[in-house]
Amino acid sequence: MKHCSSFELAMSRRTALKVGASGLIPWLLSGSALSQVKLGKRGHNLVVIFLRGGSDGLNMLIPYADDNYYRARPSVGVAANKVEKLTDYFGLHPSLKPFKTWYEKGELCLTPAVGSQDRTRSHFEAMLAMERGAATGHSGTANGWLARYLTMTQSEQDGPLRSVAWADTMPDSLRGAPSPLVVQSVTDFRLDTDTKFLNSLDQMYKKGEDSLVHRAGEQTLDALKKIEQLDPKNYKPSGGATYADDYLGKGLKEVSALIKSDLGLEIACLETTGWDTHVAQGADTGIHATNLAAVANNVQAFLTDLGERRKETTVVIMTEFGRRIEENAGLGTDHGRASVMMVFNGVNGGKIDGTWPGIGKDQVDEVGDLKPVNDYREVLTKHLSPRMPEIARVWS
Amino acid sequence: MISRREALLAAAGVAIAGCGRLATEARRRKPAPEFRAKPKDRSARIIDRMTFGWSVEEADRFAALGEQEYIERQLKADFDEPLELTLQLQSLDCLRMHPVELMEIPRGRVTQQLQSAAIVRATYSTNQLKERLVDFWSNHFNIYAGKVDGTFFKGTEEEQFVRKHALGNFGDMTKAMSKSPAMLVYLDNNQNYQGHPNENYARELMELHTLGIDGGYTQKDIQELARCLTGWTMENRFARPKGSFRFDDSKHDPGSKKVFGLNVPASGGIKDGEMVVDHLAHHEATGKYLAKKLVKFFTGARNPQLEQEVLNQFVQTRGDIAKMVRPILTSPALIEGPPIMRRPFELLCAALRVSGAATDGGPALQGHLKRMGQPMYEWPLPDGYPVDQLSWATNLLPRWQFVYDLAHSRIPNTFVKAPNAELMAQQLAHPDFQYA
Repeated sequence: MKHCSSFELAMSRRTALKVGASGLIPWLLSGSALSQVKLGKRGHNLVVIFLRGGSDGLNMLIPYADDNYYRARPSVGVAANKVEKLTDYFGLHPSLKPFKTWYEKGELCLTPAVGSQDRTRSHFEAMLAMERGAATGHSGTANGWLARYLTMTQSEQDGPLRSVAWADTMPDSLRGAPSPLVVQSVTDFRLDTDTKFLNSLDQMYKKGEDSLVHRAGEQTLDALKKIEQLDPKNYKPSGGATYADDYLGKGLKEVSALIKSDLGLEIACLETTGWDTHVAQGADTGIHATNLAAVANNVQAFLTDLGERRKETTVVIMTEFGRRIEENAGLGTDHGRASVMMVFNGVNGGKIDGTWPGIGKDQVDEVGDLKPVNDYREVLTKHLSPRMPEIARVWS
Repeated sequence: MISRREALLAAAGVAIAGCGRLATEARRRKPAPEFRAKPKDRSARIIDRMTFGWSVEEADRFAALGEQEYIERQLKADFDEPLELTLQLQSLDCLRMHPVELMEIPRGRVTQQLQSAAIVRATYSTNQLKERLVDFWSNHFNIYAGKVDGTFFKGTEEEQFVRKHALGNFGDMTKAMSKSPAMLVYLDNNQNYQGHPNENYARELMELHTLGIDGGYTQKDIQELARCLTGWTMENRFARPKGSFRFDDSKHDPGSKKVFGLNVPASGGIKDGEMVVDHLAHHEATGKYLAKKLVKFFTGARNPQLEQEVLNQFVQTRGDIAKMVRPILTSPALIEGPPIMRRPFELLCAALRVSGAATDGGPALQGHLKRMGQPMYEWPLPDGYPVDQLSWATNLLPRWQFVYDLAHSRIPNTFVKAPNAELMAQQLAHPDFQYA
């Protein structure tokens, strides 16, 4: 600002002050009477956390009693005495220790060997497959599985905050949804301008023209008015929950705030990166362990913060594929096909679900990968359809 | 005590940074542009698609030369660049210094300089078509500056591989790019050894850089290509030119290979990779994939007939990019087709151009770009920022804030002489301006 001494700036400052005093608030309350707006259906929320890059499922739900595992992974394998044992064959990575309690409480279900039919082992293809809800990245329709669910179940009560993604760009799973919001933080969702400008936006975007940008603009203006009522900055988590100050932690904290404020949030999408561990993956410590700990601690905080409302919130942690069973020369792992899916407050809590194909020489696929015998679509349908029956029809 | 080298660097830095500030000041002192409305005609559409956005200045240049000559000159990219732009670019360490030397400068500052260079070039360069193609190829061969030391290499990378060949030959660009140390590290080829292949780079070379996902290759082809590229890495030994390309024969798999129909005889050394990259870069499947991408980039849609024309040029000229682009520029698909939603970088530059803004492309402006969703060189995946409008349409709020702040001169080091800031803000926020 100090570089700018122009007359125009002085003008705009004065204008801004004036607007702050009188103009802005009436605008926010104009249009539909907010008190009469019912924001969305209450009853169930879905939170999807996507681990982008292909997280190594074999080092999340570890077959610690299988010698094949240690033979294939002399350096990347997690020693049996470090594993948080769940059964006499499987255990959790030590970084995922907080999840053991939820498993024991019967609120967490783990399914190993989950994947799609994608055989390219390309991040983009495999992510596209899973986010489009298709067998492979280029089969099926071009919108997302969550988008299709949202379209199928649209109603006049839906608020603009029905589906929110905490991301830089629209995730493919929400692509084509009726009114998805993409934010880095809900606190970013405000405009620092003036009444005239805001009114002009109303006029330019609410002309009822049927273009993508017009529709998006109209939804944005509606959401703006509603977010203004919320104050996530002063939000205090319950139950002593502590979120990390990272992207996922900040996002989950806001999801919790939105859920508890009953602002009509139904579907939240979050994502983390750094899972493409071709090099120096580590075992019980290292890159992958650190990433897992960040997810575990944030999800732990989220569930604690939600308290009893966690039971009406299904949390899905998924990734596009797992890694090769055998480690590579860079002490990392290359792209594989199957990973683990973790679901909180779905069905079969306290169980390790699905089929386990094994990792023996004659049990793996032609490249040496764990077989994706549990199709991700079937796993999601199983967990979500009791409360979201339409989900069975979204797959293509 | 600081070393002589540090002192020299510091002194040079001060002098050079001064040039950058002077350039912005010089631009700021120029008389305000004459503001006139953009016509709804053929010339405006061509300008909007060939450049980072219609402006009075660009329209005058177009009119003075006539359509045909204007296009030919843009294809040759032989216009003199504005003096202020040259001055401004010279002030940036990231374009002057060797990557390894750059590492002495804080990473955040290098990132800012890189983004600054991208913004001022796209906004002010007279060779606008070249800048559009630099943006295209920079995304086609995307490198995430945030991974490993990518930030320090990106300036050189952009200069030597992308800018040099942006309107040149695709084969030359791909061959150069395959020896880009930054690319090899970004896609883990520095970990690709005989007996322990790392497939990452080999896969993206086929999937994203050449054949495309529908190009007909198999998992076996990827594994064989990875074997060809074993030992291709970045120089990191003592007393050698650090950071340059290195072929490490001791890590190379000497056996014979077969990649995508090409037999690679045993003991070829570095020739294995060179042979296959050449094969892939000139393959018809690559031409098809590029034709599809280029047509989509400039016209916003698929068009089989136009794609075929572009493919024919690819085959006849063995990958001359200017020749491939030419038929698109005056095609009915471009002139009469539907509008294309501007990506945030395009929106930002278009707004700066049409408003005649004087800017250093600095951190304040970059903050807006990030909030709009497209901080330069920060797309983490190798496929580059998406081009489809669905990816961007929902994020309108930061666009509105940006155009408001721009029109009202609220962005530090970015100056606009708007006769009517209110009107300008409204026009830039208009749904129509979100499209080119």
